[in-house]
Amino acid sequence: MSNQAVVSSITPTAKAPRNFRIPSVLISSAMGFLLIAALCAVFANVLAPYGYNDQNLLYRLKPPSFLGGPQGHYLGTDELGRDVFSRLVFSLRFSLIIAIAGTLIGAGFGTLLGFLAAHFRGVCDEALSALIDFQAAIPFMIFALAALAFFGNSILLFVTLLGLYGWEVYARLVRGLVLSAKELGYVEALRNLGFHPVRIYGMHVLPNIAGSLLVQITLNLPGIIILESGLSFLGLGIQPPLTSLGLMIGNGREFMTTAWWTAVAPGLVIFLTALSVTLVGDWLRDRLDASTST
Amino acid sequence: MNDLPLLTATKLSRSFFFNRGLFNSKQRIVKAVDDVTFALGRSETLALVGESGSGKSTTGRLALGMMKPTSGVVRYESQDLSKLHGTAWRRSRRNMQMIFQDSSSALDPRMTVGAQIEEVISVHGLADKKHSSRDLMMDALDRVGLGGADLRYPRELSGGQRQRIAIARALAMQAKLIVCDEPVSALDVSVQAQIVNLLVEMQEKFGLSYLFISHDLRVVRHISHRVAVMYLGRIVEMARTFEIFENPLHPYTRALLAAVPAIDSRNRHSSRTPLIEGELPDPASPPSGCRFQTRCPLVHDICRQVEPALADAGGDHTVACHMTGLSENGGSQ
Repeated sequence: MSNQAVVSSITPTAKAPRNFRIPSVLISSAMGFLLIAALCAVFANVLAPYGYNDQNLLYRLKPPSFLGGPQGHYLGTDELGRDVFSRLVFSLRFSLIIAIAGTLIGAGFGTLLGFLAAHFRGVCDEALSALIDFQAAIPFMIFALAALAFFGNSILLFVTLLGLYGWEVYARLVRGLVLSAKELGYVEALRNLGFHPVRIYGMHVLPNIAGSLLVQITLNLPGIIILESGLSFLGLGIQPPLTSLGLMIGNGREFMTTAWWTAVAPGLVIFLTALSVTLVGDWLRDRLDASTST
Repeated sequence: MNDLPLLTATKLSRSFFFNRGLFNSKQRIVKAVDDVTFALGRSETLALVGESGSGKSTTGRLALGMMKPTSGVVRYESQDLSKLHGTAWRRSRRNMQMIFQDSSSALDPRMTVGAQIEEVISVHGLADKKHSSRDLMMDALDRVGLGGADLRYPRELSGGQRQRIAIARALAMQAKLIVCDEPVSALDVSVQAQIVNLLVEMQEKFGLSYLFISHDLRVVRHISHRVAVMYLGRIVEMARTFEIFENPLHPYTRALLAAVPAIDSRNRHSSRTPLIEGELPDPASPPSGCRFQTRCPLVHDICRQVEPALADAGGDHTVACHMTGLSENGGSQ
């Protein structure tokens, strides 16, 4: 602790800068990929040479231009002559929006339940752990299939289902973090200052556990991306005319032998996105764990 | 109107229940505080002393209404604290504050100390047109000698400085009662003196009342007006500070005093009273009769059967011992 030495002089000082280590090549390229993916998603309309539903039946299942296909179709075309690259950037946009929305719903819901359980303990706590056991006992993919088949497909229901996937991880994490924050004493101290519990949890405990939550979000996001792709692949997620990465693989599956690029391109993007998020999440966890414990 | 004590605790008890195990339905019951009665006047300091596990801290929490008593009543002025709930309870916090042994645990590690003091002022609506919350915060920091430290984070301050921040926060709230739970025992001796002197100074200036929980009798002697000695959840002796130190009646008090390293020869009790031995008995199954009988050098038959009640020894001095007034020669068998 180098700043311990300067404590004796009471003058306001700037926060000590964290010694910033340059991440490894692997992490840097993961970050780079995520940045590019995010830019592609945001600027999909600018980047895409064609609309994601523009059909051109004269150019069906053409290979990518670098493999001798027609100019302008960088990654070839699919069975309806739609440009794979254009569809890919739009798919990335929809898949990411849905995965992030689902993650935020799950994180918000789980965090709220974790706070409630840790605050009220007793019955509330037991109800939460019963709910978690309940969730653990349900094969989630089959539950999602059943719900989508039963209630009919809508984006809202789909995103909610993705949110339900993994909420219990946040609930358990937040419950534990809040309980240990209570043990640390500052929660009791704040309570005794006459603060409302909402203020204590929202303005004091939440900022203190935000680092751990962020790490958990990055660890959960790949799972949600893959779940979204899986459900869309099975035809129960995003419905045409919209598009998503999983949907693209699902469509391309039939032409794997003759036009592999229709399935491989979105598959590669899913793989790289999930891998990059995981790598960055791991890196973030290593970086944040030391400082969150202070 | 000021003859009414600021805080009265009447027959206060608090039990904790623990499960023994998976297949044992019997609960382990620990009476952390048992039938404790005391009153704290305005501008007065009452010290609670005793070993770890004697129930001092629990008594402090009960006194603030941070914990509900199993039985008994705590009144702040005339208000029964256990009857306060929700908003009324939160509003009452303004009057009574606590200073903890671990000063870092009382402060939010991610907020500057100035912001934390300002937050208290705004939550309790203490700022007005003349004094903004920032002015009040600066005032409070100035009073504890930390003016200009408002932009510091708790981890950038030393333990003594953090403790002063906690005091500044209580001052900013205009608290009247402060429970100090071992406020100086984690600090260096020189810093201890600063904090104790600051507490005394603030008491003189603002008429604060302190419930001062400590095991350090030297600090207690310096700061407190009266002392209550606790053993296994009960008060065994209570008197003015001078009385306790010069004329201790309970053998446990004598033993505690004898355990203080003597600097001057006047209070060298060690030459007269043997030190007690052994550990504090299991609070879940306290000894029969007098709780101190297992370790008492003066133990007598009656001590094993009848629990002594607090009796008046004259001059505001109460003691719970069958052997009061007997010398150790007369008392031992």
